Amino acid sequence: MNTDYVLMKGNEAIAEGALRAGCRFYAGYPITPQSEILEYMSLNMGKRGGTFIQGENEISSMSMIWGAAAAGARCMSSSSGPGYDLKQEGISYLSSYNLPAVIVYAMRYGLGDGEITAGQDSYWEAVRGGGHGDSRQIVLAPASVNECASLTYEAFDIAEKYRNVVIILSDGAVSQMIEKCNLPEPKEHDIDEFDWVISGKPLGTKKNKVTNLDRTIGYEASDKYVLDKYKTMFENEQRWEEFETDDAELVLVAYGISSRVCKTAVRQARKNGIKLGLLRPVTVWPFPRKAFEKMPESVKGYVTVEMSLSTQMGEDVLLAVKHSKPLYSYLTTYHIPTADGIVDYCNSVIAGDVEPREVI
Amino acid sequence: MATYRKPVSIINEAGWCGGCGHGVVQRLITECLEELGLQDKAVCVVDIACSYWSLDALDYDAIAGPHGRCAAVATGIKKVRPDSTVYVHAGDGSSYVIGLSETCYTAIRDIPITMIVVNNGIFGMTGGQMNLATTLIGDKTVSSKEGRDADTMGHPVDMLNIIKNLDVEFAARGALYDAKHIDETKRYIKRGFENQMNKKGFSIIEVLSPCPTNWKMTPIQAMEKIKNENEKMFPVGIYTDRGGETV
Amino acid sequence: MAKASANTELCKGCRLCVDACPKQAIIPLETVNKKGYEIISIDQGKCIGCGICYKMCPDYVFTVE
Repeated sequence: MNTDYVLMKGNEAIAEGALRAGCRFYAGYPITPQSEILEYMSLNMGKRGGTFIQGENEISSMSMIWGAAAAGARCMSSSSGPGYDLKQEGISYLSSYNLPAVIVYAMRYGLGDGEITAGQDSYWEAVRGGGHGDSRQIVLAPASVNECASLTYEAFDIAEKYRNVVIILSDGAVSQMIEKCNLPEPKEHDIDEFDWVISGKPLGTKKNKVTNLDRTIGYEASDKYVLDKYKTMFENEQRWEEFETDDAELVLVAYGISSRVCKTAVRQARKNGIKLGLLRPVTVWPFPRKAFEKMPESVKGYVTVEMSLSTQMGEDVLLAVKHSKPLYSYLTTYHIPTADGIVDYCNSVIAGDVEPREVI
Repeated sequence: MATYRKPVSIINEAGWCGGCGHGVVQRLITECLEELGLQDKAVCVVDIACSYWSLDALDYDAIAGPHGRCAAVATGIKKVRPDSTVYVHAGDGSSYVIGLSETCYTAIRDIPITMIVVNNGIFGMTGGQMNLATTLIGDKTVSSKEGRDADTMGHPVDMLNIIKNLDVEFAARGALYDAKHIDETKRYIKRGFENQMNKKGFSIIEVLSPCPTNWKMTPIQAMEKIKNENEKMFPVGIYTDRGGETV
Repeated sequence: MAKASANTELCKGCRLCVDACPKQAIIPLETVNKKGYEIISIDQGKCIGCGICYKMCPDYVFTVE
């Protein structure tokens, strides 16, 4: 374990984590609040012998990723909000041939142009939005600069393990904050490691045709491969962190920047005798349903803390608990939630002054 | 005495319509690669349209680009595998309409790939709609049923006149309406591959090609139309050549 | 002298070869192949092995040797 700590921005940690994982191809387009990833790559990718391309747009950048991933490179792109919308074409294509790649989504708030500040209202797009067709992406949600590096580093292994797209779901706060970070050991990736790559091979040898997998191995075989894979990913990759849940009566569910504030809220509440806990999904897909199955009997309800208008993650909590417990949501949209606000809301829940959240 | 035999790189039949020019283009590509000894490191990038047939027809590693994105896909491959021979076989809808940005920026970056664009003045695979870049004024298509009208649909544009100003290695246009022009087209395509072999820059070769099915003509009439009409708007020849002559 | 031969199972009946042959050595037939296309035959007496049919054919019907 490398014990050298460095002070870094979340976005820089994501970029450095990728480079240390052997990512040698990056293409992207500037958009706040993720541009430092692109900027960091522009300076450092060449030094590691890789390729940095500032694309003419996100669609084109993703098509470069489609080519580079098919050629065997560990590759990454990153975006936010309207830029990420455009990436969905590429994610669908990557999913169609089950190509591994890591895509970073640093969420900003709002519809359309929205705001360049932090938000968490693109949860649905990150978790459900793989472009057209049936696809699932593993979505990792770092809550610290250290996790920006470590989860991105690991994301490449996960992507290759399953031949699947992995999303790093950050937000304007986690991406922009500066903290100490423990960087992982650099490693290299062999572009010829896998037999599904295109490289240019002698006539008469087996060739790869990178297009929809069903065209390559047949619909039934492809359906089985994909469905089995998604089930395996769902079963094996659920990750979460629990904080003070052992005797909790009310459990906060939050990821990313909101989860950090929630920890303060839990400490604050417990000082006042309120048995609050926190369940922090590290993977938001697969959503950590196993964590909910293990929650103690003492839990009377769940409170999602989200910077979204529509209780986006709340849907997944209801699915996880199969509607057996009431769901409440403390929603702050364009503000980062405050610990005081969360505790006040929880007091209201306990006092019975708040109706459970209807998910519409 | 010259002998002529189908290139060994072509291992499966393609589903192109009778008289379609794509088959000739595919043959020219494979002949050039084999004559230059590049067949064992070729990577074929096709578009999700008529050129898609080439994906399975050839004994090459191959990839289908999202519609219009072939030049960007080829960029990704070439950067990762600089010693592979990466080429694009795509249509004019892909390369000049939806993918104009990808084509032009690949040219501007001077990515050392060989891009072959089939100009048949129409969206073939989707049933014969007008191509904004290449359908001639007056030509009837299923989306310009009374003929393309410049007032409402704009004029076609000679993209090679634009691309030649982007400081690329090589840009040329050939045609398929007779054996002489097919030979000339082959020389251009070969030059494109030689440039890649010699680590030079971006080469684009456009080919005036018939789509008898969607032009609603016999293949022979379609060839006549290219000669008498399309070539007037889209003159054949070399548009730019860093290594030599420019016409 | 080289002569053209034809694998008419590949033919799609476009007739480009018939039109292009400088010696009118390619004869259009009403006979259809398995795909249902009307095929051609070659008059070997007229063929000069020039390769024009090979070059024009989009379906690789011809071999000249």
